[in-house]
Amino acid sequence: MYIYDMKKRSMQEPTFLILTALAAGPQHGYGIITDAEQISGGVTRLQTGTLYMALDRLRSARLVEPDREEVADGRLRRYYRLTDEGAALLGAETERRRASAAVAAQRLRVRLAGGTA
Amino acid sequence: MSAGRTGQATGKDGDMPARHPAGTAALERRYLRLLRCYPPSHREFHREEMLGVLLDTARPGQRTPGLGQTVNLAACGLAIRVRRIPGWLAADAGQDALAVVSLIAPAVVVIFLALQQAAMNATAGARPPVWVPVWELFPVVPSVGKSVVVMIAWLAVVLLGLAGGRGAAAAIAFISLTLALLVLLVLVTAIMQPRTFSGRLFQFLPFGDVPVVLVSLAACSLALSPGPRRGLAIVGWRRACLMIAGLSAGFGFPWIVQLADPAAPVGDLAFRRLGVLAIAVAVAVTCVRVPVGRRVAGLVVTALLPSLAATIPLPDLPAVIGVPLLVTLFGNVLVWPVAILSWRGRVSRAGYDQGRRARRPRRPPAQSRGGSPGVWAGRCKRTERSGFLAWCHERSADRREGITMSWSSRCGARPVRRAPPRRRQGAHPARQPVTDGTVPAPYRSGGACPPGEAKNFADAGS
Repeated sequence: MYIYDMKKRSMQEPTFLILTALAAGPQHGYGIITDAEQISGGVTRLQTGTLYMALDRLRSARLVEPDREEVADGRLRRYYRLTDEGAALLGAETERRRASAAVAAQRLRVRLAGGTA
Repeated sequence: MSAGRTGQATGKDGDMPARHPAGTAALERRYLRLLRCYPPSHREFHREEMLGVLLDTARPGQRTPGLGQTVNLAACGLAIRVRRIPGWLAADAGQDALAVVSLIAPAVVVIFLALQQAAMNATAGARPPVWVPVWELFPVVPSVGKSVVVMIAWLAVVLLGLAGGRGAAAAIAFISLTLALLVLLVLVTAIMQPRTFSGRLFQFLPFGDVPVVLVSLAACSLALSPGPRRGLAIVGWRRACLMIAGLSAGFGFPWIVQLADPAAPVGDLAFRRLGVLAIAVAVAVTCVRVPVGRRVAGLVVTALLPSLAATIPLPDLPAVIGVPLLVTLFGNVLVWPVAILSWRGRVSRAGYDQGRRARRPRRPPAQSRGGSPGVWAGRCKRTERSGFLAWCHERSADRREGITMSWSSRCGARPVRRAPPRRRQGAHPARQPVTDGTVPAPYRSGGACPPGEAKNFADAGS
């Protein structure tokens, strides 16, 4: 159902960042937060509550799944990985964003050419 | 807040900040308190890792969660709770609760109407009833004939539900609900347009003189649940009778008091509050200690709303009439979305189960029933034909096996498995039943064993 909704509307920024962070390989919660910050160029900083709300939703939509668990400093660290469905959805969203960015770039070029002419 | 930006020392694995033990305990305790905003199932799965991330992202020396983080955690926890409401309603337990309500609500309506009629007859000679519930805002002309018709109709709803005619029972309940809503409409018209109001409409009043929210609850539970038989299979006869008696006593409290003392001041505000308390106690006592009791209590307690509204001291006449009326209408529509969501969840699960059943080979019936497949099939068909008593007979045999099946589940639907009796915490291992002939762990290594209990084990092993 979530995938159906996602096809009809654009993906939210935290969801896109989380899926992108997991695209390279399994990561734990803190790793996703730091990676998402790097991906967004320091613009978007995921809060812990937001991250786990998104992970809960993505897990129930079978877009991500737990990979393994480790214990570090006496604390559980659960790694998450992207499923095939999640990768497909991320690919579709990337294409959509790329197309939008291409249109925006083209129109800016036209505007720039019109301004200089 | 990356590790480098916050100035935290880098941990040994390169991406995790080092822990600062001082003050961590207090911060951890506060974070744990904040995590209570999340639903229990989410906490159980994510609590440890969330706590680890929260502590990892904390500033050095931080002792309390920041305001932004507190708001974020509380908002996300509540959002997850809200998001899970449809799933919670669509769970099996929601349908089971509605089935139990479809069993008890019509019976409570019948007893309520009987008590109401008896109280009106008792007070007819003494004085007219002062306390008027919201569905009876005008003095009712004693018209025994029409009231008896309504009572018989609801008795038919109860009997049809038990006999398997859920659809017919729901249809009668809907007719009664429609008449009751018409009466509410008449009352609204009388209040809003007193000059153009036709007094002839009052002749419908005795037909709609029923506890509307309770009737609405009965109608929707009959229409959108597996039905009273399923409810009976869940709670059993004894508990069902106790629940019906308790709830009837709660909802019919004013009438019972009037029967005992026709001159009782049932119209006083204090007495109305006592009536609300009686309903609340009845719901709590009768519904909480049964299977799916909390959900049943949550559904039944909506019928408390009109009585609760009648206890609010309001200044002028339009508000005195209008507020309980609005609350009654609100209570009417409140249970329907709940029931519809629950029903939709059941329907979608049924489709999923049918797909699974088509792929999975059926278990040979001979293994479970001790007879040939032909006998089982014949019995199943006979049960369908031979009616409710035969079903009760077979159900008693199933209960001995620990399986409770409803009428419809006999032919393929979902069985209700009773939970095994809860074992007392800390019970001595020797007092636990031995089922596989093995000796419990404390006695395997030749540990000390009381003589009497060793004898018990020898008996069990043999």
